[in-house]
Amino acid sequence: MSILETSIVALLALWLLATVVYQGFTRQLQGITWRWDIFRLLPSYRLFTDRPRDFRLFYRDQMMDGEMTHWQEISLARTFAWHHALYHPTSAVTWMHAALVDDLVKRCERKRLATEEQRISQGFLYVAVKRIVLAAAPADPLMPPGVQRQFKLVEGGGHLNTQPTIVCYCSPFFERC
Amino acid sequence: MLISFSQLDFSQPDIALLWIIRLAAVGILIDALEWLTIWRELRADGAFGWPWLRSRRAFLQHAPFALFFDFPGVIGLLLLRGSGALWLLAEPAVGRNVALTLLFFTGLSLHLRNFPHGIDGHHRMMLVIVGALCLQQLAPTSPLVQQATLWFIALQSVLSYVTAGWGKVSAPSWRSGDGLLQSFNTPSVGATPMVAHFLAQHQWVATTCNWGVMLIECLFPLVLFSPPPLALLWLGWGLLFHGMNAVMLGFNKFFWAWTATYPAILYIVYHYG
Repeated sequence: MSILETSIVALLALWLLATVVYQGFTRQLQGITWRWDIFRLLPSYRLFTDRPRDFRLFYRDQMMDGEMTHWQEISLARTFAWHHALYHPTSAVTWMHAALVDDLVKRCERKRLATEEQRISQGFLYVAVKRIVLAAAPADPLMPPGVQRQFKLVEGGGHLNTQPTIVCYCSPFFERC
Repeated sequence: MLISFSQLDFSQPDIALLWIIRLAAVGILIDALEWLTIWRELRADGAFGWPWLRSRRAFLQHAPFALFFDFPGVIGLLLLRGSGALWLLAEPAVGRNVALTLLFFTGLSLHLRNFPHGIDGHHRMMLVIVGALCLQQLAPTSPLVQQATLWFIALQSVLSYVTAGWGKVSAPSWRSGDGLLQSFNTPSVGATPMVAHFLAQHQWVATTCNWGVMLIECLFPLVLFSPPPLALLWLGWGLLFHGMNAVMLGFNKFFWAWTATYPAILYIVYHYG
């Protein structure tokens, strides 16, 4: 066995071992992998194990005179079509939006103190969701464009309406610039 | 690409590796084409705009990253990736190692650019497969390295099923028999409402499929110890499972990522069985 062969086999074995360890201690090692495994060579195979929750994203505008529009929804639902079994280009965008909202809700649920509100609104997840909301059309096309916008994250009961709607988070108003 | 009977002899490592490359290349090509279809989302104002994505980490602010990750550099990256996959599918006599290296480095780049919210489970498995194939190309004629690569890919595949299965067993919703129904009930997961309503009205179907998925995933390592006919049944389940997910949930690329690992499993079953 040459040095090259030994090296390749050793590298594969090490990679496999690290992957096995990571599956068993994902939560404990996430801080390390987030910082050092920048290419994500260690995959997490805990796919679709958490209970999916039906999160929904709504926004509304506030006019200069203080009047507010009704809440409008930005759909996070993935559309269904038979050809999606072969080719589904739009899935990346809707999946990303849903994942961002999911993570932001969980971040808010971990919040213990009111003083953490500022940290949430300065965090990457909040900025990302705010970006999605700001890109949306005016909440009421019949009214002049609002000067401020607000979003809320709501948990619903899915297709079967298995639970009443719960507001998980409501953002402060921010400028629509 | 004509397939002769000899190309189905999975006891030969060359044949197993060839099929892994073919299946992975199809998945990678579909992924690249999908990204190119939504190219507007890669612009600065798009959902995957680089000016926004780079704010995740301080080191991503450096200018060299923008060359390949900002628009239109990222389009070039995707075109390279698609070209590499096409090259592999064309199966020329030369250039396989170059194409695989290209796929590996473009895969690393897209991981760096889009993680976490633009990277899915199939991206991770594809990177593992392509990385292993790249290493194998460093000593392409070595039987030892071929076997090590095939074992690596097969064990990664088995590990993925066991981890997913055990994760479901650990989850109260799946243990109660409701996990599958809750997944299909969630609009963001992608199933049509008809499926959720059907499962709700036929609880026994939901519970049976729920426990069936968990059981088979947890017991998947047995495929490596099974005689060929039984192993084919295991992999047949896998094809059906991923095929159903592609049809009902739109998880099309998961099908290619996981079936690309099956030739490695077949090699172990037929070579050592």
